[in-house]
Parts: sequence; structure tokens; C-alpha cells
Amino acid sequence: MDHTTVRSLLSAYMDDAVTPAERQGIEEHLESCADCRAELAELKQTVLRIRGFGEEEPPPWMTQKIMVRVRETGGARRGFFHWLLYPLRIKLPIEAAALVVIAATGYMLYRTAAPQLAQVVTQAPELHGSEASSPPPAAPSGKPAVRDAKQARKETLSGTQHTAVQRSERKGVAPVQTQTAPPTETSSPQPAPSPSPYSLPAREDHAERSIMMEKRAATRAPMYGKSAADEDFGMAGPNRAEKSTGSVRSRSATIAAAEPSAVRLVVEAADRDAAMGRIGAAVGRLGGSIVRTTITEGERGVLAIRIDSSRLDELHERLDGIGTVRGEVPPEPAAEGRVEVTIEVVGRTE
Amino acid sequence: MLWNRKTEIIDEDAGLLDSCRKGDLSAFEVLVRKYEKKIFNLAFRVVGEYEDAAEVSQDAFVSAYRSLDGFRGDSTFATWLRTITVNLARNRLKQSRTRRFREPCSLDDPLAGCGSCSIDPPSSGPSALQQLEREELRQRVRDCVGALEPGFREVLVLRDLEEHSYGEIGSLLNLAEGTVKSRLSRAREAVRDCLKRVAGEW
Repeated sequence: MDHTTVRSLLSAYMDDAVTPAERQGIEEHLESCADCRAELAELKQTVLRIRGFGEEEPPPWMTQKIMVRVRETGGARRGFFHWLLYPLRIKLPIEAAALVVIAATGYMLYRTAAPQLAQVVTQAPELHGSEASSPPPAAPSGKPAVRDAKQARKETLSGTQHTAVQRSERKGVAPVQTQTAPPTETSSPQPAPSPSPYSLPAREDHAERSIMMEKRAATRAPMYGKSAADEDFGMAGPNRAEKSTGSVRSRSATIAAAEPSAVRLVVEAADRDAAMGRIGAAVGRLGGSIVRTTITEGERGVLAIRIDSSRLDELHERLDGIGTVRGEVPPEPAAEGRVEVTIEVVGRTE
Repeated sequence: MLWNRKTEIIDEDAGLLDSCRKGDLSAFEVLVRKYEKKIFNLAFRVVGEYEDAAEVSQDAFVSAYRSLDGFRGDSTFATWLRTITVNLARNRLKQSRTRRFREPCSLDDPLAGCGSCSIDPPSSGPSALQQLEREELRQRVRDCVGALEPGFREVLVLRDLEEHSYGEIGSLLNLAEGTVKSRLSRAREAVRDCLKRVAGEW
């Protein structure tokens, strides 16, 4: 190995970064070349001195300055693009929570609107049902609500006699003032018991309607009973007068105001047929007459009777002895003479 | 024992880096305090100027923080940080060379014409003479290393001061290992010659 080659390899030789062959060649040459040995010594010394370069202390403010700059860029790092780079384990729960909030909001909105929607749905079949059972079958415009419509048709089919009085009353689309209706104020046809703006007013003059109303009022009691009673305060005329007679009566009185043509009562009894028999007998003893008897396959029967308005209270008392009576007789009959009373008999299902 | 210690350091860094990625700036500050001296000295050895080294060090940490998400842990955080620092320091060196138009002290210049190679006057402090001499020598070494061409200085610093292997230097500077070897050889010889000239004795 010649002199120049050895010199060029001395640096690597120091670092043990030569091949074994090179190493051997270098070492052989060094043994015979004093200059190269001196050169190697100098290089070693140089590296030692370089390593003694020493360390400088960085300026004392450097840490703070770095952190200030990092915070400045930190803002950008936490920006929108950083959000995109968020790991899923952080992003997913946040998005899931957002979804839950959206779903809950939707549900709450639905719940808020539900009562009104439900009212539209329940009123449609009632309207339809009542029209189906009326002799001059006015074309029902409402959509058929299966159960109620069926039931109403059965009632019609199961025969029974309709009096001319009833017919004449039913023909009227607008509410007709009859004897039993509370005095005056019939000009407002629908002081509806429900505060809902969706209540359908016009055709609610039918006899059945009132029963349904009664039932509905009962079922809605938890939701609307109170507010309906409260609203009576804002009503004019007879309702307010009735209000003073007792809060219990107010509800049915309101209904009566809406249905001025007849008195409706609902009797709950354990045995429907027996109860209907006893009611018929009671009506006879009070000098009334049975106009119509409707018996359905279900737990429901309807007695349409005519009775002197002065005996209404007595009738109510006797019905009380037969079963649980819902509905009240008007305290001040609209007119003297005979009134029509529809008594619905409902068997207790329990 | 040594291995365990090293593993601990790496684990500690990894934990701190995780915290950093979650936005914990105090974790990053721990890393800054831990490495700033080494990073500063590396920068200082490459760029040769105290102020430049301080700026390069700051840039290196800020740059590392910005690209934390890109750090996959293929190397240790320390190595990754050093790579960033070396690259920034090289860029700084090129810029400052262009800016100054002239090299402060070329190896080829006669000693008399090299102003920046002048020896600082000894301080009148209570230091022992030997300590003074050692400090003088240290300053001479710095001057001579600083006088090297950037491409040579980087290799020399990374090998003799930072103690990287030839392979590591090659990948750090994107150089073939043979080039590293030859540059290092020439750099060492240049420093040796410089020291001989400056000191006037060996």
C-alpha cells in the first residue's frame, strides 16, 4: 500500500471504518513509515482537541422563547385541520353525543306536536262514525277510522227505530237549540271543551257525538280536563252560570252547551243487559218512554229515551242506583216538556 | 443497565410525545428543557455563531412541534430532533455564507490576514494559567472548525462532536458513506493544519 493511499485512509482507520484488508495494508505500512505514524498521531490529537470543543450554555431565555412560539403555532395546530386529524376515539364520542342531542330534540318536538296530531286522528273517526249512523247518510268526508266506523255501522244495521224527532234534529248541520240545552248562547256552535285549535266543530250535533265526547273527555281528563274547566272562566253566558253551580258540573255542562239537542249520560254497570233492563223499567216508572235501544256486540248499549225535563234529576238518581253514572243533567232545563236523553250503558270490563 | 436506562428514556419521551399530541404544552416544555442544550450545541458547532445557533435551536423545536403528527417513532425523538436541527443549521450556514460574501477565516489564508482567528486577550480573572491555555485552545479549535467549508464541517461535527457513525451521518446528510469518509478525512487534516498555524506549535 502506497504512501498516499495510507494517508487518505488514516482517518477512517482511526474510526475502525476500514476493511480488514485495508487495515492490514495500513498497519504494515505504518511499521515501516515514521512519517505516516506521526501523521496518525497528529490526527488523533486533532480529534481529541475537537472533542474538547466544549459545550456552550444556550441563552437562558431560549426555553421561554421556544414555548411562546410553540403556543403561537399551537393555536393553529388546534384549528379545524387538527380537528380533521383528531383520532377517532375522540371524534366518535363527540359525534355520537351530537347525534343523541339531535334525536332527543326531534323526539321532544314530536312529543310537543303529538297531542294535536292525536286529536285530529281521534276526531276524524268520531265524525265519521256519527254520520254513518245517521239516517240521511251524509257523505263522510273524513277518513274511515276502522274500529269506530265499523261499530257505528253495526249500530245502524242492528236496526232500531229512529224517531222523526231525531231525524229532524239530525238533519240540521248547525247546532239546533233544544229544550235541554242550556239557556241561550247557542249562537256559538262550538265552545269546544278542548282548547285545541284542531277541534272540528260543525257537525257535532249528532246524538252519538256527545257520548263519544263524554268518553273522550274522560280519557283525556288527565291531559285536558283541567284546562277545559279553566277555560270555562273565559266563556260567556250559561257556562259561566253553571260554573257557579259547581265545578263538577262544569265539564258536562260545557258539553251540553256544545250539544244542545239532548242530554247524554253514561252508566257503567257490571252486567250491561241487566242494567239496560233496569234502566228501561226506571224510565217507565218516571213516565218516560224508550225511543230506541241499540245493542252492540261489544260492551256497549245505547238507550234513547224521552222523558219530562222535570224528572231528569230523578232519572239521574235512579241511574246512580244501577251503576256508576258519568255525565250530569243540566241544572236548568232549557225548556219545559219532554227531552231526549241518550243513556249509554257500558259494561265493566274488569 | 445501560440498555435499561436508554429504554426508559425512550419510553419517557414517547409518553411525553403522546401528551404533546393531545395538546399538553407542558409535556413539550419538558422535552425542550431536556434537549435544548444538546440541540443548541449541535447547532452552534455547525453554524459557528452563537446567535445563529440560538435561532436555529428555536426553529428546530418549533418545527418539531408542528410536525409531531408526522413523527412515527422510527427513530428516537432525540435523533429526529437532531436531524431537523442539522438540516436547519446547514440552511442557515449557506444563507450566512452568502450574506457575508467572505469567509471569516479560510484555511488557505495566511495567519496574519485572518482577523477572526485572533486569540482573545487573556482575561485578568483569577483563573489558573492552565485553564486559560485550555480555554484559548478551545477557542482556537472552534475557530478552525468554524473555518471549514459547510459540507466538511457538518461531517466533522457529526462524527467527532456528536459521535454519529458513518452510516448515520450518510443518512442524515444524504451522502454516500464513501463521501462521508473522504470528507471527514479532509476535514480533520484541515483542522489539524489550522491548529498548527494558529498555535504556531503543536
